[in-house]
Amino acid sequence: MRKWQTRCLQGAFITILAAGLVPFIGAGKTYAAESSCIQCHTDEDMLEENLSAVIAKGSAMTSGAG
Amino acid sequence: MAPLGPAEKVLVSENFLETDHGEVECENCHGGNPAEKTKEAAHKDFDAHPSINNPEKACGECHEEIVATAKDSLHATLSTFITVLKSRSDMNKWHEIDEARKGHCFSCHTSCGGCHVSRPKFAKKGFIDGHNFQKRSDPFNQCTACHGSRVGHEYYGTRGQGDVHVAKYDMDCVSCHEAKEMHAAAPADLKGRYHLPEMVNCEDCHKGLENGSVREHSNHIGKVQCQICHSQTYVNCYSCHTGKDAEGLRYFQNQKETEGMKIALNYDKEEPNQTAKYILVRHEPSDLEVFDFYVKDAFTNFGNTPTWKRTSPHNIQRKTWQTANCNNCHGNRDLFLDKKDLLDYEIQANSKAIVPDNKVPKKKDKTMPINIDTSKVRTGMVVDAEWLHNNLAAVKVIDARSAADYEKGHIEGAVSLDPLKAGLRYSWEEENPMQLVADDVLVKIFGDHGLKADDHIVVYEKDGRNSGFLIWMLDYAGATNVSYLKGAIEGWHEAGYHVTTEKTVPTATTFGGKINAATVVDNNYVKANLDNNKVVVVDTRVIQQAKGLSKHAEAKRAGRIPGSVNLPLGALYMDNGALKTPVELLWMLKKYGITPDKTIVTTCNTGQLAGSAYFMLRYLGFDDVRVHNESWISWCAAN
Repeated sequence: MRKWQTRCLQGAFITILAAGLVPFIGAGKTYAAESSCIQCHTDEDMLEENLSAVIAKGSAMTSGAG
Repeated sequence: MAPLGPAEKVLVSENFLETDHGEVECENCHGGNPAEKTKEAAHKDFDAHPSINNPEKACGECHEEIVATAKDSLHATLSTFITVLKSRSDMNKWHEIDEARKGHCFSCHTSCGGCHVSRPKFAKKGFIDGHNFQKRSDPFNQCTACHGSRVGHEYYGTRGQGDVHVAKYDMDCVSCHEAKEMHAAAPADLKGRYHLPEMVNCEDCHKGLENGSVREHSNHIGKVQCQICHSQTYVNCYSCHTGKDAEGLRYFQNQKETEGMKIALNYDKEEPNQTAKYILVRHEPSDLEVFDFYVKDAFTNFGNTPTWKRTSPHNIQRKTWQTANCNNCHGNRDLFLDKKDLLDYEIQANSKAIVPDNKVPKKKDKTMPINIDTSKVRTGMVVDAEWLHNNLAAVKVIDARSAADYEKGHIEGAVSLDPLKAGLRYSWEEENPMQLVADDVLVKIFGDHGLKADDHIVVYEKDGRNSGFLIWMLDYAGATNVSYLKGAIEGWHEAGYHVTTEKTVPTATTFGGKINAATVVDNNYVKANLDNNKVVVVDTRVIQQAKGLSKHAEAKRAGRIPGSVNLPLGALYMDNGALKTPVELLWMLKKYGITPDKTIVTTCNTGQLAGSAYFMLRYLGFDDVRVHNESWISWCAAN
């Protein structure tokens, strides 16, 4: 009887624990594809429309080989 | 290397998302706030260079072992700059010196990302393949994007013939410079980059040469550095000065750059794997006043470190002028570093490198003859500064540099005629772009510049190549006596002659002359002679274009004309309009099967390099030289 009770308690404990972990399944693995960054950075047309060339200004006094 | 557009620089490829690195959330490496709705908010605390700013977190979480050493590699720390600067410095002024170092010298460093994902910061950044990580660095977008002006130009033939390792064996940078060298940690006090134990050596691949079939190897190995015999001339820089301009932008200015070669005594036999008696040295641009803008009298110990430093040019050839004959080195005092090669303030610094007369190997009595016939060289096609100065009144002088350079100062009486801008070729918008304009238009332009076909015309510019190009066009138009100014404008300056800013306005005249149509051929001629062993098609483009690794921006595709011989134009010209001797050039051309008994057709992308090569071959005595005016851009569109 006592053995049966122990098994029931263990089973209930494991079931509750497993149920508690269900929302976290998959949460440890997030891909770049799911990042909102990617929505913009794979959209060539949007980038073309919204980005302009930043001309890095160099001194006209620079000469010769580096 | 074409510049990347702003969108192209940050456009992530869909393919990337399928790769291992695509499994990592962007913000894990770059920070930022992906949940935000605006660009500004999303990029707050964003790190575009995580491998520079935090390599252990960005790359080290997965590549722990590599990052542990790579974060301290020479690419990341440039530690030898610090060692050398400290050796020369008044350490009481180190704070100011180090600020200048950080502002100038340190601008070239890079880390994991600049070699595996994007163009380095120095090369204006941007993904080279949609953020895909490349195990093998890209030689054009990455390695030579920084190491371009010397190494890249030497290796791919912008200067010299290029390097046999790529020309014959398709080797790129990391074929020799493997990960174990690139990722190696450089100790903070590393004396010089050649002291890095992981540094690649020729002997790592070329083993047992002393027991091989080349007799000279057994005589020289262990005594001379391999590059002494197997490299071509290379560039030396002098007197770099740094500072900030009126807008606060940093700049550097080299006073002089010369192409040449010097052998020195090995001043540092502590270098691993390098105990040879003689080494090849290059003049580095250091100067007593290099940081004067930031701090005066910084280098009170300038004499501690040589300014002629061991070098390993990346322009290796199996056969070079040094291997052509023993006496090209033996007894050739000019090739060995002498006190007279040094400026006063650098004599002490190079005292261990100077080769005294009794250490210059003696001339050999018996050598194999070179057997090159120079009797046909058209010596009148080249004049020097002294000759021009003495004959200025008798010749027409053309300045073939840009109009802006002409305005800054030119030889008195010279007329400005930039062959790239004067309307001598059709524009990119017209039919037959970059080909010569109609004959009547061409001769009118020359006439408008005051030239007649029977004038003695002398052409000069900055490095000679455009002079050669213009000389071909004048030759085509029927000019009978055109010369090239040896040493170009720098040679004129060095000879001590003055320049003027007073513009010469030419009196328009009729050029006259008879079109020399035989100097130009079209695609049909080239196609018909592909298998003619009396006709050699010489592709004068750089090696990467001739190999199809890159292409001219206007070409429909990469590639080369079948059967053509690739001889980059850099093999024929030197920096600053200097010329190699005719015997050396003819010997080198023979190596490629380019001999005066054949019809030589020069080709390139647009006819410009081909025209420059035409002049040099004519000067060397070739009778039948023709320029493939249509060149690769037209050829690849038609074939």
